[in-house]
Amino acid sequence: MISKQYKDKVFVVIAAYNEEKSISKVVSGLKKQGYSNIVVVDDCSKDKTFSLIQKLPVYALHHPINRGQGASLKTGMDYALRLGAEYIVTFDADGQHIPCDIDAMLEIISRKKVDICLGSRFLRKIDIKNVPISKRILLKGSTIVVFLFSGILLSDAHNGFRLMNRKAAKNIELGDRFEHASDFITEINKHKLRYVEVPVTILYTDYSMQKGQSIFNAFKILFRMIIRKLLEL
Amino acid sequence: MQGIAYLMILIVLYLMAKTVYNLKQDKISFREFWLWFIIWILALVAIFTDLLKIASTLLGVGRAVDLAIYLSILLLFFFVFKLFVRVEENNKITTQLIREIAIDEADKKYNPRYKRR
Repeated sequence: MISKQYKDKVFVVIAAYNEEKSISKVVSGLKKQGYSNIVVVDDCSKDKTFSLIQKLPVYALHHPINRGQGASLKTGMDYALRLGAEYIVTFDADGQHIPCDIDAMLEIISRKKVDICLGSRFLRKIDIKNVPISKRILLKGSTIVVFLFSGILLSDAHNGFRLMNRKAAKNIELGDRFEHASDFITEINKHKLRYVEVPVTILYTDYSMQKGQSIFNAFKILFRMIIRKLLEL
Repeated sequence: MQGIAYLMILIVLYLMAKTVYNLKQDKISFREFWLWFIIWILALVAIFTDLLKIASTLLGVGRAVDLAIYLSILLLFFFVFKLFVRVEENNKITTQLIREIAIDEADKKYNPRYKRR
């Protein structure tokens, strides 16, 4: 059982873009679980997301120009660090993640003395069954690509659910768009951060599937990753 | 190749160097730089026809014009790459600026001891 005092050290960062349908539910779920420090970054949504989050008991941030999910997460992380966060969780705004999984991650990060816990939907049989076949193929392909770029082989390299300590959050730099998921892994390797994969449940609803990554986007991400790697040379 | 061609090559090379210098001194924009640079390269290719013939024979490319096309494609790839780098740099700056604004606005709202950074 994680104490309330301990949970108060945790800041949950949510990047939201056109999430007016789901954001209130996600925030209330986190509050019910005892997480009161929530930072929601509206990435210049076209719908009413920003006006909605301003009424919620969260720190509501707003990008006046759309900059992408990675940029929003980094904005939220920087703000949480300014507020003195000891731990930072990245959490999806579409309701795919379950707040009670944060408890498990918190327990593991303190017990195993690691810097970052990475959520994985491929560690428990019951979670694997939830993943649609098309997603499974796409995600497994991405783990290989991420391995080639970072040298770290994970079971699930594109899971948006993570818990990191202050040190990790300070060091990690992210790309603006969806390539940020891979950036987390390359940054872990670059800064020699200690990591562990933790099983998490991902809820696939029609809504979240509609918002998820397509094959086309996956190739766009790959292209950007290759170009950025070339720039580093 | 005639003597006048050598002279023209020297003049064009000087103009190319001058264009690069102007860019470095911020006297011309990046866009203007490429425009002028392409013009000077086209001029060089026109003057270099004889040299191209020799080079194409040496490289085993059948015709001089083929070599010119290959070189142009390579050059275009290089331009696209440079443009991509420039766009990435601008994107980074924009994101940083937007981030500062978002955090500053939030600070104004939630921090009672707010001070503009």
